[in-house]
Amino acid sequence: MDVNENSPTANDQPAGRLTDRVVIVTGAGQGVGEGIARRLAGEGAAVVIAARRAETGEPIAAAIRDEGGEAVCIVTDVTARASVEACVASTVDQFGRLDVLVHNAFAGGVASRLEATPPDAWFQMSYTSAWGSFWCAQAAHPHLAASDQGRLILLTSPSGFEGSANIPLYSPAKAAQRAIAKSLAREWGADGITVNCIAPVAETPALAGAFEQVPTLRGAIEARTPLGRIGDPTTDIGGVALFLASADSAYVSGQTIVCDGGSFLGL
Amino acid sequence: MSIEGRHIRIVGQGALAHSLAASLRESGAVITDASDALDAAVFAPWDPSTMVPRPLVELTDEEFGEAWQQTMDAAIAMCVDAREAFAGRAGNIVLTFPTTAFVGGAMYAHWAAAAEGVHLLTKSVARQWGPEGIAVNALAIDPALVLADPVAAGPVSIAQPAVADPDPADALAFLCSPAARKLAGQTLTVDGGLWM
Repeated sequence: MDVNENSPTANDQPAGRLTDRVVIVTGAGQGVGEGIARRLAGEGAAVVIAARRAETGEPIAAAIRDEGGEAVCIVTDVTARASVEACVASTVDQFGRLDVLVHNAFAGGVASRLEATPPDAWFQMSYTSAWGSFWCAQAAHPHLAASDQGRLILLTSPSGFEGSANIPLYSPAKAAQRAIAKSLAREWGADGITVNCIAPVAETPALAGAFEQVPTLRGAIEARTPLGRIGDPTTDIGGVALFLASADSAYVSGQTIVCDGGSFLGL
Repeated sequence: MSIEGRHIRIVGQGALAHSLAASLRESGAVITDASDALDAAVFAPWDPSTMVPRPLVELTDEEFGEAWQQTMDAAIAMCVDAREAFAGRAGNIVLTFPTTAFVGGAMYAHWAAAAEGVHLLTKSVARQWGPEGIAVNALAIDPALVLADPVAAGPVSIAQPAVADPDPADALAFLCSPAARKLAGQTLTVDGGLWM
């Protein structure tokens, strides 16, 4: 994995900020989810790689274990309530607790006109994003409430603020997560749970695929980004996730941290 | 900003839709379900009889689906139908939602998701259809008009209202008028100045 020389790495921070914490990361078989899982595991968390396919999730869990961390893969389909509930139950069975749930999994973002968007593409976005957030939150709640550091973190997108001319329904699907986070920040504050979002732009397989289709896209994104590069899933996005998962963010709830190198400045 | 004689479709069955239709009619608009010569369409499905509070941990799939999925599906269909009715002519689309979209609501995660989804649908559609001459904008309204229990949702702001009567009728008339065609993806918030 390429790490920009100007980026802080996990080695620059004292390790162990999540020792004894148990974390689930959905969509952790690749991209941003993998980066967050690796970063949190590097800080001592036991991490559940909740991936749709074992072929992608198991190697990530094995790599974390090879590096001295604690991780397992639990095959999870976030578009199915029973699968989400089973993932949370299995996590608590294996580790005895759940402190942090990071819902990152997403699928269905295909460029189209609104009037020509296939219903299946919309439902895939709706179910991985909004429904998945609902089911993850509901299944995790009793365990997060039992923790002294309960955290729900939802991965949204800058498109959830700006709208999208290319994938018009991506924006509402991602916006729903921010509204859920704000609502649950109100609702679960009394339980000591914080609920926040991260809106990242990062080097992912999905973005790499877009670069193959549109060769000028990388240059365009880098040119509009004040920091001049695209984020690294582990160091850049994982670092923000670490903050939100750690004790340092205890007084932060209902917020979205836009982690995109300074591209979106509209807040 | 005259809407005299403009043909406007209102999508929604609750008190809000009826109230907005009445105000537009008073301003001279023709409220119609017909597709012929449609000038503007307004999405206003929000209704206190369905927007009831529910803790997320007790929320059923049916309740979440009624709020999030059905509202979004209806909003998407409303936009596509309006564009078809405009038939290549200029037109206005206005999507309403409570400011719960901006600030969330305790016991209202399902409806907040729907409201913010509609908000962002406005922006995406404005970006796609603006070049076709379709002005797509939003009207954010006081949650007290549509939530069954706005107190349960929690305050929009700790401030007192700056305007006593947050009637959104005039702002809606503007957004339905030709004068609004220079706006794209914008939201007029008419809630007494609670959310700024």
